[in-house]
Amino acid sequence: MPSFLDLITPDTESTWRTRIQAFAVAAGLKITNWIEIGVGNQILEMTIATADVVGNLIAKAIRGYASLDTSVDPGDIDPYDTDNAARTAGPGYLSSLGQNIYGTTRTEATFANGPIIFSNGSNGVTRNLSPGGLVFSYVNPITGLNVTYHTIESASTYTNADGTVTVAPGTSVSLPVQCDIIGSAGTVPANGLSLVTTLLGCSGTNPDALIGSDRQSANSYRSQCRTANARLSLGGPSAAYEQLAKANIDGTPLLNALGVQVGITRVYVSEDSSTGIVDAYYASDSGAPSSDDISAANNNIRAQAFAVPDAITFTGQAAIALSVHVGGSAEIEYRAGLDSPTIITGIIESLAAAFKEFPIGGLDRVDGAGSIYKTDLQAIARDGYAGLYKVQVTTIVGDSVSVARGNVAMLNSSPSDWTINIVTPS
Amino acid sequence: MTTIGYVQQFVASVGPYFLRNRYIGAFLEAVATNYDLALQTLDFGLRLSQPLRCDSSALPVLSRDRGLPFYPGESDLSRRRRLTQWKQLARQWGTHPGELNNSQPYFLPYRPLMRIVHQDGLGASATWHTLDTNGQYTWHQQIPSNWNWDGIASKWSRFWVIAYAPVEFCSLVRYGDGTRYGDGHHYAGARESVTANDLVSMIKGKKSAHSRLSGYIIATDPASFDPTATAVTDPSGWTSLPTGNWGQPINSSGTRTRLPSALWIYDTRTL
Repeated sequence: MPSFLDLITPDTESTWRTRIQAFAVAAGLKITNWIEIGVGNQILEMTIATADVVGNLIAKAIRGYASLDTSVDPGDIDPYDTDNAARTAGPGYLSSLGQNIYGTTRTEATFANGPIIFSNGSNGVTRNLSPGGLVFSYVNPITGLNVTYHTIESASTYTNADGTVTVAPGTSVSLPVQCDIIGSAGTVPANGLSLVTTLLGCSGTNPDALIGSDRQSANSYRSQCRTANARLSLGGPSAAYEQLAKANIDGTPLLNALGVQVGITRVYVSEDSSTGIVDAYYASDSGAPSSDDISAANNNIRAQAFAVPDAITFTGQAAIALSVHVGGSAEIEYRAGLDSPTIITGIIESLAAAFKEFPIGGLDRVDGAGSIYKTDLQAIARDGYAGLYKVQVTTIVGDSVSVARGNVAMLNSSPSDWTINIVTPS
Repeated sequence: MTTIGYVQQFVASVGPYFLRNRYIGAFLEAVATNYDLALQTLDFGLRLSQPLRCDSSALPVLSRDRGLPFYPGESDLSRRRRLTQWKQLARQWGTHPGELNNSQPYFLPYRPLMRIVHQDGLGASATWHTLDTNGQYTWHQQIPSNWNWDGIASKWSRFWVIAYAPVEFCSLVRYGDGTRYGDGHHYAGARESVTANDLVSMIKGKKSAHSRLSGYIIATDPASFDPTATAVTDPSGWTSLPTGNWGQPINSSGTRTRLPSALWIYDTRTL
């Protein structure tokens, strides 16, 4: 049976040509004697092209069903199909796989929508408004994007027999509006909208923020699918604590009491106890999470799935930030356009990204305590800029930094900590 | 499921006579054979998500997607079997039946009798979980307790696994034969240490966070570790079940404490 890699990789047109010609020759056809651009040759080429298309579709279907990593939705980056990223985003193989096998729904992009308050000024004119009749706009001060909103249908708002709503002079009415573009780009802060439609003496704006969301990234969705089964057990496995510190039982992101998405990205759960004790530590990208996030995680773990069986002593707390000073030197061969500040920025960004991934307690943990290795840091720094070599981390004494149980390593590295030697070939 | 040659035979049988001649016929059958191959590829590809039918190269992919780690000494048979049961196994993570169900396939095609035993916090009873050779789970509570490990009843969330494994899996060295302990928990040096590590990891990886695997015992006597039995003391001093004396394998008088027919592949003593 062909291997996994062979089956998800489509054959090339050349392979199809060779194969069809080989079969034809084996069947006794003197295929090499055909006249180029003759009818026979044209038929052969058309057949090969068709087989190539079929083969590509088959490989795509296989990738769609074979694994989360190879499956994509339209609009996602697909290493096997460079056109896919440009397709209109929507459910496809990946969403289907996630829903049918892992019981997890991919969060699609949403339009920002909500109510605006329309005020009819005291100019003596009664206004009869229809759905879609009013346009509002907002210019994002950061991106400069001008987004527009329209009033939308609502049977409870437009109650007149002709489908309108009457607004008497000097009164206001709440009207539902929706952004004309989908996604977070359409988000508007409270009171951000202005009435564009010219109606003398009238105004309108949104009392609350109107939030639009982008589609969940493919990798985030895959990760959510993989951890989805942790929520199945009520028997208190570590994975259930880890999952519920970050997400609801249905896999949607956990919100804290302020309605803000919990920023916990890493969780350590104690592995063994002879007396029924479970200690969990939480960390965010920036170190210790907020107290609101910790409360939300603890409440969710206790309440939502009974992950904590009776008689268990459970404590969830913030991880302690452990500052790890990383600095050193590196060499790079001279080439046009090199400058040390850019290289150092690359190094620090690479390290910063890696530190966000280091687990609480570090690597190779024993009873929750582990290490961050100098050789790893040097390799990560080297990846920060193409062409670096002889990367030496000099601020760490010995081969590693010890990370105690419940501690999370945080990067402490500034540009002045690094020296770049640009080597000119002799 | 496709059959190689089906499309080729179909084309060969339905074409008019002038499309069955030596040249055109050969060409059409060549094309049809390629579609046979394409369909076979599709068939093989759709099997990639089927643990019992896929190529073994797909198993690590399924392991990652389904959150079921593989173990170095685990056979493909066990891997495939566990992957088919991934949701059922996940449903039981953290429970003793779940730990047994996750481990028993390791021995496939043999299905050994396996037990997990623990004592309550008052030392009043022992609970025995059993997965028999047919995959049937039962539990038994023995009052008064017949599993008093070291006399420390307050350490109630400890548990012990007992596997009546076939000899070829665990012909391990024994304590006292001159081979030293390795990291303090596992026996070291033997090829079978891979198996021992696998078996222990299969329990520890999916157990509840609030518990401790205190020991993993390979039983060679089918009659030993009877859940309903009462401890019997051998004339030489060891007991058939723990009576508070198994925290150390040899007591202060130099006498063996544990029954000699069992092997300990993991032993945290009194943690």
